[in-house]
Order: sequence, then C-alpha cells, then structure tokens
Amino acid sequence: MRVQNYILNIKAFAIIGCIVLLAMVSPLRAQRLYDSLPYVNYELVEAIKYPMLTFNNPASIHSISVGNITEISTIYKNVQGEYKPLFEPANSNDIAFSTKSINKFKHITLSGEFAFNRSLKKQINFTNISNSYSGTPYLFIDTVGGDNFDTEQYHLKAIAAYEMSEKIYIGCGVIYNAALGAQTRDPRSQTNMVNLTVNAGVIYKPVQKLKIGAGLNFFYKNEDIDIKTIEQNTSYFLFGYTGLGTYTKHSAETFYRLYEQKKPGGNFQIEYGNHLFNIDYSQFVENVFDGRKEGEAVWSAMKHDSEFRNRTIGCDYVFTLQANESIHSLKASAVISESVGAEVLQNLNKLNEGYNIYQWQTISIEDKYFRKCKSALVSYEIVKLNNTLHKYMCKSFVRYEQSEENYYLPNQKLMHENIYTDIEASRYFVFEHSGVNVQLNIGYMYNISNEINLSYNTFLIQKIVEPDFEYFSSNYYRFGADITFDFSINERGRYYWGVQSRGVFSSVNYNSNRLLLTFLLGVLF
Amino acid sequence: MKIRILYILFVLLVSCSKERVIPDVRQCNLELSLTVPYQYTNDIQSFEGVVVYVKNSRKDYVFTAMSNAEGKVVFSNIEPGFYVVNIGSEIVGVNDIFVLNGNKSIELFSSLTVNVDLEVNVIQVEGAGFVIKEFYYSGCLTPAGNNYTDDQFIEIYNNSADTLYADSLLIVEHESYGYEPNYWSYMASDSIVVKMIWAFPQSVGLLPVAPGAGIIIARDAFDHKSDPNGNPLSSVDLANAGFEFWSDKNVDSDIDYRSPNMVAKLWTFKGNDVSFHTRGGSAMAIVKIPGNVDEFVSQNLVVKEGAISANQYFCKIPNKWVIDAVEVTWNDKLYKRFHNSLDAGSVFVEAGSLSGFSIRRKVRRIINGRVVYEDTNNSNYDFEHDVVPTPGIYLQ
Repeated sequence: MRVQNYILNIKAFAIIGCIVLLAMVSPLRAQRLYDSLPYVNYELVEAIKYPMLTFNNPASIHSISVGNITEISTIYKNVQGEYKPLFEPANSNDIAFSTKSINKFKHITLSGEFAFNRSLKKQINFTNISNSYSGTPYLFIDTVGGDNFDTEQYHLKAIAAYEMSEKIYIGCGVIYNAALGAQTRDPRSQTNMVNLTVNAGVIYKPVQKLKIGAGLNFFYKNEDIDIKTIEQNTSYFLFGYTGLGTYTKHSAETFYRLYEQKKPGGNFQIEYGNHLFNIDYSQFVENVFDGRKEGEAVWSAMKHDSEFRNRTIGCDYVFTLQANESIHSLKASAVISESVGAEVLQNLNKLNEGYNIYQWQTISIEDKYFRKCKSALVSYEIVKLNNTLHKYMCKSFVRYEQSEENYYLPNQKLMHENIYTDIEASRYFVFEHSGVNVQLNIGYMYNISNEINLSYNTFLIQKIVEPDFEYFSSNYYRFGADITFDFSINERGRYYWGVQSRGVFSSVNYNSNRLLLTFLLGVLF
Repeated sequence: MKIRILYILFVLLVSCSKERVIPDVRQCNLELSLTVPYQYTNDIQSFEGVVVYVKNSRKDYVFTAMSNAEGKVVFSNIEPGFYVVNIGSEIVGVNDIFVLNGNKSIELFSSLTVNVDLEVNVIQVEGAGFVIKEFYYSGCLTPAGNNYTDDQFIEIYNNSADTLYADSLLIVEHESYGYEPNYWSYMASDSIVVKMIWAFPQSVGLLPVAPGAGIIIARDAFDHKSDPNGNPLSSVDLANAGFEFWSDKNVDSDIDYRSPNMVAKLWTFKGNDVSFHTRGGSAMAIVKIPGNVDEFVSQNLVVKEGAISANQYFCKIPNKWVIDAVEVTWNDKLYKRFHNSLDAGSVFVEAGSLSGFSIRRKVRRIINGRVVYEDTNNSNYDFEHDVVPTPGIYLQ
C-alpha cells in the first residue's frame, strides 16, 4: 500500500511538474460538471466584467458582450486516490462531449448548452444513490463495498433574454439533467435521476448607473432506485440510513426507493455603479418513498419513509473596478442553510375487509434530524486585459464553513468548522496565430474545531460516520496546474482549436491523497 | 455608500444567523404494569428482577429494564414509534418454576401507561414434555454456488425425566409465512391453522423416547457431508435420522432413503419434496390430537375467504393440543402467528437464507448427565440462533 502511494505521489508531481502549471480549484469551478475551454476565456472575462452574470437571473445574459460564439469540446477526466469522502469512488474515469453557444441578435440573446458524460466509477462503498452528498441524511446503503458504478449523464440548458426597452430586460431559462446509473455487483442498484430547473427574471435599469434585478426559479428532482439481487434465493441487508449512524434495516432481494424534491426559490439584485448586491433564497421539501418487494404484492405498496426540509439564504456583495485594461473584483458572500429531517411512521393497514388490499397509512411524522451549514467567502480578483482576452489573472479567496448535524433521541452530534484559503494565477501568452495559457493554484484547508458525540458504536458508525467525519475535519493542501494551447485555424482568427491539460493534487499526508487529471480537446468558432 | 451597503450586508447576515429552525422533537415515557392471572397472585408476590425488553419495530435497537417488586417498569424519554414489548422470565418457587411470558405491540405517540397481561406457565424444575430442540431450515450453498436445502431437519426432544411416547405426536407447519399479518389472527387465542400435518407411521408401533433423547426428522435422511449426492459444504449428517419427510407426488420425485417416512395427514401445497422456507417462513409446532387424526382433519378444514381452489384448505387445531411451538420469522419484522401462550417471542437465523445455520434451544441445566432445555414458551429467550446444526447432539 505504501509503495502504491509513493508511486502515486511521484506520478502526481511528475505530471504536474511537466505540465507547467496550474489551475482552478475554486470550489465553484471544482463542482462544474463540464469544463470549458479557457483559451479564449470569454466566460472568465465576461463574468468579471458583468458580475450579475454569476447570479441566477436569466435576464442578465443580455449584457454578454461577445456574440455568436460556439464551442465544442471532448473531455477526459480521471480521478484516483484514497483521500476522499467515503461514498466517492477510489477511481473514476469520465469521457464527456460538450457543446455550448451564445448568439446575440438585435434585441435577443440566446445561450444554449448540451453535454453528455459517461462515467465509470470503481471502488464505491455501500451507497446506492447517485449523489450521496446532496445534504440529505436519508441515504440508502448496503453492506457491500468495492462496487463499480457506471453512469451516463445528459445536460441541456437554454436561456433567452429579451430587451423590451432600454430600461427593461426579461429572460427565462430551462436546465434539464438526466442520469442513468447501474452497479455491477449484488445487491445492484439501478438509478434513474432527472432534474429540471426553470427560471425567469427581469432587470430594470431606470438610470445608467442603477440596475435592479429579480428572478424566480423552480427546481424539480426525481430519482428512483431499483435494487436487484441477481443471485437466486439470496438476500442482503439494506439500510434506510436516517442520519448519524441510525437506520432502519431491511432484508430483501429487491427494493425500490424514490426521492422527489421540489424547490422554489428567488433572487434579487441591485447594481449601483461599481457595487452589486445579490440575495438568493430557496427552500425545498424532499420526500422519500419506499416500495418493498419482499415476496408478496402487498409489500409493493409505496411507503412514505421520510421528509427532508431545507431553506437556504445567501447574499453577495461585489465591488468591481475597471481601470484602463485592468479589472479588479472584490467579493464577499455568505450562505446559511438549515435542514430538518423527519421520519414518517406508517402502518400497513387493510383497506377493505373483502379484498387483500393494503396501504401504508401515516400515523405520525417525527422531526429527528437537524443540520445547519454556514459559509462565508471573501475573494479578490484582478484581470489584466489584452483587447478582449485576459493577459493575466490573479485570484485569492478565503472561505469559512461550519457544518453542524444533530440527531435527536438518541441525541448525537457532529460538527466541523474549517477555513480554506486559496490563491490562483494565470498568464495568457498571445502569439501570431496561437496562444498559451498557464495557470497555477495552491490551497490549504485548516480545521478550526470539530466535535463528534455519538451514542452507539454500530457497524454504520464505524464504516460511514467516523471515516467521513475524519475526512471533513482534516487539514489538507491542494495544488493544481493547468496549461492550454490554442491555435487559430483560419487567417481571420475566427476559428480556434485548443488542447488543455489539467492536474489537481490533494493530499492530507503521504499515505492519503487524490489526483485529478483532465484533458480537453475543443474547437471554438 | 460603500460603508452603508456593507453595513446592510452585515446586519442581514447577523439577523439570518440568529434565526434557527429548531425541529419539533417529541419524546415519550412508557410505563408498563405487569399483571398475572388472579390464580397466581399468591404464588407470585414479587416481580422483582423480571426482565422486560422493548424493541423499536422500525429500528434496530432494544431497551432493557428490570421490573420492580410491584411489576412497574418505566422507560423515559424515548422516541415515538412502534414498539414490541417482550417478557420472558422465570420466577422460581418452592416446588415449581413460574414462567412469565408477555408480548404486546404498542403504538407510542404520547406518554402511556400500559398493562401487560402475562401468561404464566408452571413447569417442573426438572423439565417436562416434548420440545422442538433444533430446527435447521436455512440451507447452504454448494461449492459451485448453487442452493442446497436437502439437509433441512427438525429435531424433537424429551425434556422430561420420564420416558415419553412419540407415536401419537404430529409435526405441523403454520399456514402463514409470516411476512404479512396472520390471516387467522382472529382465532389465534384458541387455535392455530396449519398447512402441513405429519404423523409418525403406524408401522413403527409404540415409539418410546427416553429422558434426554430425541428424534431427528430429516428432509432427506443421508449423510449430506460425505454422500456423493450431498454437499461437502453441508455440516449435517442425517444418516441416522429417525424419520424423514417424503413426497409420493410423482414417481422418483423424492428419493426414499432408509429411514421410515413420515405420513402426511394434510399437505395443502403438495410438492415433489418437502421443503421448509429457507428465510424463516415456517413456524413449526408439535401437536397431539386425541382420537382419529384423519377424522379430525376432515372435520376441521378451513379456507380463506375468496379462495377458489380446493387445494387451499387448511386445518384448524386448538391451542390446547399444541405441545410445543416455535415462532420462526423472516427477520425482525414480526407478524406473529402463534398466541403468546404457545410462543411469546420469535426467533430467526440472522445470517439469512443459505447461511448453513440453525436455531437451537438453549440448555437450562444438566441433571445427572441429562440435558434439560429452556422451555419458557418464549423463543426469544429459549433459543440460540445462527448456530452450526448439531442433530442428535445434546451435550456440547
């Protein structure tokens, strides 16, 4: 094991060293599913120039200054290493195809995206749902580790903004994501996840220096999980996890579970001169339903297992200063999220004496789980422009986050409080028909405090709660490097193709680390 | 202006962080009051030390507490939910042992005081009657990974100090598989309903069983460990089984081994072989029906409402004729079939189907080399589970 880790470290440093350097690792970028070609980097420049673009108001895309641009990319991504949350794979390989386009007409701006991602995940432990870290404690797990999980993800996004007058802009958008996944070992789960976001917004500009924006959005998620055991006459213990090591246990050959979430939200912006203030609010209820297929049809009746409620409020302040060919951006953000988990207690009752028809009837809904997350971020970014492209960029940020989970009866608690700091720099070298972008970043996370207070010492606490607690409350450093080449294909410099390599290395010590490698090939016209 | 905006931002953040959504967490108290039938109130004057188990049916935990002398047990600050109270305890008198059994389902959504009426069985210190000593139903896997269940067996045992006769005993299996509420629960306080009744063959005549001896009834009576038709991964040698279950449904459908065959008095879903539910669907009992068994069966057939096929007839047998019963279940989800007076608890092989494990009665004491097994009529208390089968072995 030590030898493997040593080799991994050597590989990591060699690749990163060879690639001349660096990248990302702002958490926002790290969460992006589909990377973008940064060699022309219109998104980066546009987002700093017009910070309202970074919020959830679709009317804001009218301010994009580049027009009629299309990008097509293929991406390969590999992640490996043991320094990870428990439910993440030890090794995953992704191949993606992505295309996006922005088109500006006289009064209308259109933006569209399509992406397909094929992911092969290896060595996933216990979990049976597609995203185990969405915040809900109501996971569905088994006792089998080392699973392989194959997924296909589809992403569609369309946004339109319309200039009604010089003072009023409206916009609307729709985002559709679908994912299919399957495990290849008993008990094998098949997941089918769909989520849809629709949003609408308006921006009112009464005077040149003032913009007032507002938007509404609605998010819907539906994920069903069908668990099967192929081997005949064999059943496994399956656990309806209820948070902090507590669970309900099922022994079954097959099982069905449905997650359904409805999340309305809204946002509001005021931009006055160089100052922009944004506030975001959303709340959701996610219901979990179980359909058990233990032997007889009566068990197939859907049972309401749990209810997860959340509300999140976030606010941002952005100060932007454009001077000559430099743009300075100072940003402060804060997010508070509170969640309550309730367990639904139901009885299987016979509906009609004459027939064998049973239905689960709710007796009580009991609040049992509470989670509060707070985070705050302060960042400073400077971009030096070379015409419409960036010449160099430097960004640093400090993020504070605190997460506290409580389970009641038996009373249990988990808490961790971290501070993460990161600095990132990039330089774009422009040649006659080509360009090279080099980017580096380094980050460090420091655990300020943590607390673990559990009443039991069960299998799930040993295998899930404690390893994840250790991960989320450990200090680590992160180092990333990124290099991109782009070439103009035609004489007018209208068509480009580009190649990008990226490496991100995270480590808590020499025995526990993780490496992300990305290769991207794309064309922009 | 900048300072003002920053100030507003700060005030908003502070006000947000003060607003904390506290979940509405309820907690309940449960007070149990144990009572025994009036005729035992003089014999049982103190409940001190009676162990009470309260199991949360939805989750995997059990509270345990001991009763005080007055029979009061209090559980404080527990979560609302569905609970099963189970009591299986012995109070030793001068000449007798009073076995207390209780089983009660409780929906606890506010603080409650609940009376638990206990069944009392008076047993002799030295043990009494026939009991089911071991039941191996889970089966096992072959080296090729195939299912192997031919090595199932049930063993009955003379738990008394006297020679008893087994020839008039019947081995029965309850109608319900136990994964849904018992259809016959309305009559459970006085009768059980069975789908299989097996009698010892008349040809063997009287069947004396010495104190401390038993009879193995095999599904297939041969050495499953070493026989080429067996399974080397089976732990069971049934070559010396006293009897075997056998099906004559089709010629050669079930190999007839050397041991005498049990005789089916009722077999509702007759198949090519006798098999017990490998996940714990078979709740078993020993029964003694006075008089002519065939006549009794034909006069006590019952059918479920809406049944359309003649092969869905079952037999109703009074509880008073049940000598011993064991409530085997699929898992800890309990749909009881036997009344508390027959078995106030339940038991199952937690390792599950094809694990190769059995359930076996615990040894209470050994008197002059004779094993006396626990028999409190509460299988939670009386049985070990997930044990390697030991047919015909009594002293471990």
